[in-house]
Amino acid sequence: MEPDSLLVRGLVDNPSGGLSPALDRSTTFERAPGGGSPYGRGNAPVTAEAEALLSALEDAEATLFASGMTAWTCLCLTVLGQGKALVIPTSGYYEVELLGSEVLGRFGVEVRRYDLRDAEGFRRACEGAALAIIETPSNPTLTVTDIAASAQAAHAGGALLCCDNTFGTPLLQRPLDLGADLAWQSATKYLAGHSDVLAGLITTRDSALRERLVWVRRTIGGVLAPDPAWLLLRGLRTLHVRLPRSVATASELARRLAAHPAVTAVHYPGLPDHPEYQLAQRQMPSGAGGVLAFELADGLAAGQCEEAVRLVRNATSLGGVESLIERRARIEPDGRVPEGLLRLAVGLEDVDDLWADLAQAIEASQASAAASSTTSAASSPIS
Amino acid sequence: MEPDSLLVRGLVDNPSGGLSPPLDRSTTFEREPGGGSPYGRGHAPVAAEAEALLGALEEAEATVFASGMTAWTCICLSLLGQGSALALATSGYYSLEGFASGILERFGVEVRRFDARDRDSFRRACDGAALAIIETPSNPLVTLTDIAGAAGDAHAGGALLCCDSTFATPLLQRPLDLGADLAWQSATKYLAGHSDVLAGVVTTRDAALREQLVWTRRTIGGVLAPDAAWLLLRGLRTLHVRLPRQVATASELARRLATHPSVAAVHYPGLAEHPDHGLALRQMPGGAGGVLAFEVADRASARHCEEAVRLVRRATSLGGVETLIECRARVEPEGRVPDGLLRLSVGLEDVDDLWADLTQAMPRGA
Repeated sequence: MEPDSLLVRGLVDNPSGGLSPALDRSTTFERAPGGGSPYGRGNAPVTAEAEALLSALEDAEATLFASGMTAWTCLCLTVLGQGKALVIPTSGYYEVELLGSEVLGRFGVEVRRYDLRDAEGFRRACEGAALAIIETPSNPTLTVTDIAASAQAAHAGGALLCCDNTFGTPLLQRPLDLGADLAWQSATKYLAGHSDVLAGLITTRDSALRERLVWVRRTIGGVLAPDPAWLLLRGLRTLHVRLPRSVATASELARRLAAHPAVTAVHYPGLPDHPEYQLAQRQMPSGAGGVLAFELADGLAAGQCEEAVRLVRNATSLGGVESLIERRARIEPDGRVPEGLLRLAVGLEDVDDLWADLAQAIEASQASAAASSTTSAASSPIS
Repeated sequence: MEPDSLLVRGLVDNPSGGLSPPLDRSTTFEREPGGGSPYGRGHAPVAAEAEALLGALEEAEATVFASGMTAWTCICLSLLGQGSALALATSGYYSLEGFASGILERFGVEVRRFDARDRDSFRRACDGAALAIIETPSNPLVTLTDIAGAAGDAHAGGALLCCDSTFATPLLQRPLDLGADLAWQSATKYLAGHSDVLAGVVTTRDAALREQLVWTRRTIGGVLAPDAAWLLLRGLRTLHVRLPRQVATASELARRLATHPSVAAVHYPGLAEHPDHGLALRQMPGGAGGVLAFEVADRASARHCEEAVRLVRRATSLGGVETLIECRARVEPEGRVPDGLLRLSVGLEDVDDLWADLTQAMPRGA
């Protein structure tokens, strides 16, 4: 069965015959004679249903968590320990840096950092490490990393490779097929798809690893509750029509932004002049995703732009039905991202309506910049 | 305002004027110009409403989590580190032991185990430790610990004291009033009260400590989802009529069980003959809780009893509207509890119906 049909049909029938999944909130269950004592921290039935579907989508075993960061935390608690080394990018998802430096480091984990575009640096960092994470396409600079090559490099060093596939989803990219040991997603984004569910997902084909991960999830109570699991299932039923639409719109907007005089750079792996364009064509043949980033002259202009949108929403997150814009330097301090960079998560609105809104917002940011430079020219001494 | 009224009234008005709280599932929020970017891992309106109410109940700051164990995980990740020590009872909730030996020790935490009945053992464990955890009443033997005494001992050793108050709730016991730094509950149990919500809550009067917990919770994503928070709020509205009823029924059943020929022992601090009865009167004047344990001859008898009940449900967990029975030796690692021990979480059914069911399920003969 093709992914499209799988997503619509699901894998578990509702005993009632109903076409909508049952929502069982029970935290405890009658014990069958001679059986065990099921408890909510073990997993909820509807969550197991969502895991079955996500497993089938990647021909792997899927495990759901309360959030993307909960999934990552559980993985770290499973495979790391005092004296072990973790390899993370210098410019990937900011929270991974925070968990590493503010929590794991305090428990004796050595956190090694590599530059996303430095394959040799990655290989060195993996030597003797326990776990390495790559993120492709990356957040928010849309750098693409060769998953197969990274898997080889990680394994050569003795490390497991985890690939953050949030921007790809299994419809555009299957890291496990390319040698990654684990694929990780914030299901909050495209999978649930409606900005109303926090959830995290890890898929793997290593059963023993999955069992340990499930034990840690149970022990720290990081399970996905029934209501968000039900909503995640509901969101998955349209993933295959939402995502391709977002990808098509993102591609078109990337092209138009690249030609705009006020835009100094566009980061989208689907554009031919993207540094990893060829790799993206091979690794994500169905499309480069629904997120792009573009840069204006400076932080001031980017700040004005994000506040001037009217159809696009100025909010964090991505992957939902609405287009979202965010100046990332405001969220990620310490020079991690260019000051003028705006991340655009493309939703399901009409492409021309979106373009009109972006154009007027960029215009507004230029008008403000011009106004302030006129003011400063008037007040500076004539040289 | 008395707790009863507080629980009914709540603290946050629905902007619509409705008397039921709104359910906002948003994971992201429109940014105020010049403001930050609220995101579901940090900003959760319904959970915040539950926190306001739970905080007011204990005159402290409350923080809710995805589960009781998530709350405990966040406490540990915030306060411990490689080389720090945790003082943990040998006979408390067994998941804590699993977390300690299966995770914390691997990350360089020194886990010191103390005998909850031995004060010297506790003092030694706390000496130079970062954190100590007591559980009172304890699970599943329902023993009590003197919170004020434990707080003094922990602080003397330099440790913070966390008290698991799940079996009591703020209506029967307020550990912070007695010197504990943190009070922790599985809100899955009495607070939510309907066996349909997993949640955890930690209360503290230390604002800096609370900030750390909130930061850790956000970073590991251990927040309580909106639907679960809404159901927790709904459950709280009847806590003050559910719990006292459960306590009354538990007290009566404990009395009847204590004289039943097939029962070798009853563990309930509300009974006059219980070793902790004096402490119970001082520390839990409103009642000794709704959980009791009793012992029959052996494990086979306990399992027979478990499988013979008809009104009482054989399932794990506690604190909900239905009465639950569980042979704990079947669930806990070997040797932690007596073989014939049955934990009874008393619900809201008629006391005589419950007694009739228990007696018909009891093994024949002494």
